[in-house]
Amino acid sequence: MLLAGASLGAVGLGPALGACEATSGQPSTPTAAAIDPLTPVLIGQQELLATYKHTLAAFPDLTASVSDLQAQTSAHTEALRAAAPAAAGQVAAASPSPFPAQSGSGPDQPGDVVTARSDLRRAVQVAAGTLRAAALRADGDLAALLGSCAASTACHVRLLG
Amino acid sequence: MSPAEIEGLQAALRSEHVAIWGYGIVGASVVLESRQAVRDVDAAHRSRRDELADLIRLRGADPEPTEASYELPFPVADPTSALKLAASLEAGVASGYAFAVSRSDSQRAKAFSLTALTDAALHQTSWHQLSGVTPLSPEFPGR
Repeated sequence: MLLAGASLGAVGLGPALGACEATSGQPSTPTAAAIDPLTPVLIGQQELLATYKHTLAAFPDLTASVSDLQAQTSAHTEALRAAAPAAAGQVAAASPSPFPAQSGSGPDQPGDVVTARSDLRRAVQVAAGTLRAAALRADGDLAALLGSCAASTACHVRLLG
Repeated sequence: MSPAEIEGLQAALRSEHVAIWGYGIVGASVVLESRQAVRDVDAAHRSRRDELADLIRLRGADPEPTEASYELPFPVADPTSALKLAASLEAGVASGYAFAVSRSDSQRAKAFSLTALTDAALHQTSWHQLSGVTPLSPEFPGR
């Protein structure tokens, strides 16, 4: 599984993050103008969706217990894209294929269902933390949306436990 | 500590008042095996209500008092409807805290409200698990 930081580094966006303001589309410095604060959040969400896809492709037995969580994660991602169009545009530009075709097994795919579920839970936990941290930095309705997505994702962590 | 932040915290406090009142009804109607869980969640809400009242006082305002009673969203006459009410109470609490998050301009109020929003979603998920409602987790708690 890729982590958001690794992807940001890959597209050259990571170093500018610390200079960003919380409000989408309102950079505080010329350096920060290169990146929207929601961009790393959206990248993390896309990576989590890819992890869901890889996991379910390799372990279809998990579908019954995981498909609702995957669908809700997809809904979160769409809502965040709609709320932060600048970030969505940056993510699309940085990653032409945000949802790579499934081959049945992703990189570092575990060999058994217990480990796969545990790995998925860990990825979801990271996403919940990322969303909460972004909510703390954001303001107004965007903060509430991020907080709502974080709360729902925290429920997913429990359900995967 | 803006008036908007106080307004948000007062809305969250109102939702806690409703939840604490409602859990009295839930506790009287659930099956025996669920009563301890109801007591635990009720105690968590009372604790959070008190913390919230302190936060509001620290901002120089008076916490809004609870009402003598509130209107039930639907009749509660059996364990199934009691668990449905419990989930509904948590949805209301989540809405109160989501509003508080949107109005917060201090990190303390926002962090407090985010944690409470998450706890409400987790409680709602627990009640859904007990009653078999799917999806188990709320998709956009508080919205």
